[in-house]
Amino acid sequence: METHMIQEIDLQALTICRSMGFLEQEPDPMILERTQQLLEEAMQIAVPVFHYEVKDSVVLADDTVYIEDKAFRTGKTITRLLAGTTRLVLFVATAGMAFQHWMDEIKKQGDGLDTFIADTIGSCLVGACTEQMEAEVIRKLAPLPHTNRFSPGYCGWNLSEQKGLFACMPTGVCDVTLTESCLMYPIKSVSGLIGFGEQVKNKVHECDLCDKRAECLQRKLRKKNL
Amino acid sequence: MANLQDLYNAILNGKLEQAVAVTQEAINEGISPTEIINQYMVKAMEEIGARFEAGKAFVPNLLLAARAMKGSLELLKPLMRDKNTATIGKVVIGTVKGDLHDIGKNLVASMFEGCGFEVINLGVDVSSTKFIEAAKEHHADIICMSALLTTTMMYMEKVVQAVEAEGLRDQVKIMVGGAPVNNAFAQKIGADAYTSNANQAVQVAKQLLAAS
Repeated sequence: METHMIQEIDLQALTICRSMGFLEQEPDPMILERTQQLLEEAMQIAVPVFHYEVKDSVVLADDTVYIEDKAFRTGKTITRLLAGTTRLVLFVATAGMAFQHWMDEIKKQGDGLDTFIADTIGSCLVGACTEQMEAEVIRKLAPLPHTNRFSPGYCGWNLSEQKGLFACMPTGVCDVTLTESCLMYPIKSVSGLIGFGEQVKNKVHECDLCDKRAECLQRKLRKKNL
Repeated sequence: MANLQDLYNAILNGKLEQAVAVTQEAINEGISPTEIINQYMVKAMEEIGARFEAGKAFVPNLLLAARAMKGSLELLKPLMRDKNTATIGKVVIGTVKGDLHDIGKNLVASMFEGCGFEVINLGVDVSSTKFIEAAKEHHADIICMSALLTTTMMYMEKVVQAVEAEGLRDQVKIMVGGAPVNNAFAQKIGADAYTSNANQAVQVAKQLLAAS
């Protein structure tokens, strides 16, 4: 098990604007400037952190992944995509509680644009934190091939399975808690798993399986490498 | 003399201060609020909505336009009350119980306000009781519910059932939205409509009210 506090995340205001929809069109200077201001504030406050656990003794069966004495009902789609997995990484990544409090304060001030920008910064921050986690575990488990990341709530893996995933983590992992409805708090948090194994081949991204793919901005961003 | 085309442009481009200044000038000159709103402000919001649908404007543009529109409407509202020109409709909106996500819901609320609806924003983690109390208290035309989780979207059905049990179903339309929600789900739980973005929500709300 390893917990990492992120020291450096390189986020640019233009990247945030891309995530707000400005894919090819340049954002209005007013929006870009406000994004820059809020991003600077956020980066001084936020303490993103991730934690991961490498689990061995993985058994895949139909719609379930067994790890040690735990069973995850990941659903048939994800279990199929994990084919060949012998080692499993379970992870949690978060923009952190300090960021959550900052975002709450922005929200209280009642400006819709500021709130939207702050929310997008949070999404980008936790996204970057998750990417750093993924790079770290890939480096650590190299040269084992790996799957993409999968999270409860996507591709048929029921969100209620968050409880099982968090049960495999140390208590209070990254200061992220689960609400009764399995919502992670701080809200800007991501959890999930990545499969590793000599025989792992399938690298389908969960975006490509999502039924919202036609309208999803995140998918468009990924396709454009933005 | 107030140049109302400047008001149109100010709202379209999200310039709050300019929109408020031109609106005040127009009020001082005795131009009717109905003319200011219908001929310029609503048209600017329609244009930004159309640009959004065409992929030429984005959520921040909508929010800026809605903010400018709201600023101007604040000046006009007292005059509208005197002349008994009511809002387009009253919307009670909230993120359902168990869910704390509100960015999309607040965007929809801003667009509703910007487009002349009266909005009662109940926040997040809203129970069916709160939705019903607010709908009764404010004589709402529409209840709008949002959820971002597959676990919490199921609560929307409870709200629909509670609205029916209270005998309000004929008086209030129900709209739903949020990432895991779709049209089939909306139909299944007995909602009147699902929309996938803030601009559509306003358009569909207008259609629902016009048809009722």
